[in-house]
Amino acid sequence: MRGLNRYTVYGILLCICGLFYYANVRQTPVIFEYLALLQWLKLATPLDKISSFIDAWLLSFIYILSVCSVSFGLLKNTKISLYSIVTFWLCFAVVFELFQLNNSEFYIFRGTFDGLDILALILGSLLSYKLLSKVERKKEFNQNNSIIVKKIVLLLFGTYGVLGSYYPFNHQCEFPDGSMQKCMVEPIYLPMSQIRESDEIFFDSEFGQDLADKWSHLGYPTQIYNGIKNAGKIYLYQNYLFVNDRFKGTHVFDNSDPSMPKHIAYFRVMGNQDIAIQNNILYLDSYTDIVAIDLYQLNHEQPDLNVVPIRRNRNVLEAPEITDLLPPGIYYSGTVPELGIVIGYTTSEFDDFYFWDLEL
Amino acid sequence: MKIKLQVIILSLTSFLIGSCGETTTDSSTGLSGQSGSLASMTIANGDLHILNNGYVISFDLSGELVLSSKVTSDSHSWDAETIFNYNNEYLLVGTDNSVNIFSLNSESEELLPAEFVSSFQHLTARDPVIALEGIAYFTTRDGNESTHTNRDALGVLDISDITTPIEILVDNSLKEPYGLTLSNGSLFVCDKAAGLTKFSIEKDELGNVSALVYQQSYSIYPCNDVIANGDLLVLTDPKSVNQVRVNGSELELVSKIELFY
Repeated sequence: MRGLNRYTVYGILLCICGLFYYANVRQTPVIFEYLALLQWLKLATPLDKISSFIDAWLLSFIYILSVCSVSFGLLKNTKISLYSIVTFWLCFAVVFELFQLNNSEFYIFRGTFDGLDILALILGSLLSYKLLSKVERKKEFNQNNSIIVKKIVLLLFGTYGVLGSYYPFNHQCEFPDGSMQKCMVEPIYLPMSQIRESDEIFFDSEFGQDLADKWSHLGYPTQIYNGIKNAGKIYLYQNYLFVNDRFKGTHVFDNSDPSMPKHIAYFRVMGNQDIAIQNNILYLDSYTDIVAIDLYQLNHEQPDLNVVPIRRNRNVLEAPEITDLLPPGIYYSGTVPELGIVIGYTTSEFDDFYFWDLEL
Repeated sequence: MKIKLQVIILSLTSFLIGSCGETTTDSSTGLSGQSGSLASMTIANGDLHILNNGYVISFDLSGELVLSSKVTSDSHSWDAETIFNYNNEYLLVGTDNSVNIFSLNSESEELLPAEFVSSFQHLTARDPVIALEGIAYFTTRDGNESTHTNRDALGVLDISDITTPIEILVDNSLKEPYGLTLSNGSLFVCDKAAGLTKFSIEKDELGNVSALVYQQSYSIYPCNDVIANGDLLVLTDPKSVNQVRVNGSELELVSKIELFY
């Protein structure tokens, strides 16, 4: 077959290597998923993810080598210079990469912009030029109409390749309940004011009766231990054992007799995941805030009504990064940090999903 | 002569530390408690340090309930998950693909940001890290407890020179290792597949750690994280918080807090 020379074959082989990588390492929802070839390339067990540093640029590098090689092979007997082939594909790929800078407005170009990609494209095109410039080309040019057809085929090949890592326009994502819906979702906010208002210390009226009696006179609520839903971090301080219930608060057990730990109190602090204590002050994180609780005051023989044993230090931390809590491929239409903490999302079909089980 | 003196000092300090139990965090100024290896907030050198979107944020605690001043570390760690106080001088940050070491500038009176010192890169996996007497122990896992990959690892680093952590060994015998603690010279690792697993720490004649020897897995004690408390271990799993006494190779259940869910 005329035109399908060895450089075209090299390029196609490189392209298959790239697809193999997509099929077994990357596993992002890509347009390539619709390719039968990609399904054939899938191994029974996916390979281990390689270093994220290599992952960032490898595919761009393979892409530019592949398109340059295929183009060179197909256009070998034409007037088109190697220089213009390489420059064209470099510019083409860089422009598409730059589109990703503005990923909220161009849905079809969603992906992540990475400077390493640009670097890989430049290095890849330099390498292609270096390797292919050694090849001798025929002096007689083939002036027939097939050039335009070849150009169109190449353009389609290159475009499909460059779009491969993006999400297709009508792509659907799988949600935690198994449903397939649009990937773009709206965030659900919980205002910090509501989180702050919910701070509460509950004393255990069953096992920590002495303490509960003392404080209930001052208007503090009591509660009996009704379990911990998502046990998180643990902490030991003197004779006390602290157990966090993820995103809800922290429970305190009197552990002076380790064979019989007694639940004595629960600190309801929304968003809390971590515990630290110094000099009888308990510090609990809560999204942008840190709540400090005076354990000395709580244990005091005669609690003083004028001493407030709990204080919320506001806006001392940055709100947690939330995008990594979304299932693969799903993204927000946009987020406004001023509205509060994003605790979940609403789909285009108005289904609500929450990241954490918060008792609102 | 110099070497001998070092050995004497080392063995003396290890005797002292060993005799008062292995504490995970113990602040030099003021009394603090012990956190598990999965903590992302810790007290060191009298200050509160918390991982916040990859930065170490430090707070001055002299105001007790009021966090007075705040500083942010000079360097960012991608996917930082755990923070460990090492001798009130350094913070060891466990990330997705490394152990990063920060200096606390503990000699300074004023609160200074944690300063990046060095990093040990390992395979892409999640991990906690703990350290004692120049040796750091870390686990990494691939997030899948039924498969066994090279990302499921238990590693030991020599950090006696804090600027250049050196890998001593990597053990790949566990499927999904997570929290870990040291108790009376043994290393206890929570493996999601096999349960609590005990390793003995072998040392050569110079007192350097040379090997971890697998002792036993206690499948009746599944756990995510573990804290050593004297001769007791406090274990968490999704259903209960257990306290067990280490008695030679036996583990005796002391108490069980049911989580009900």
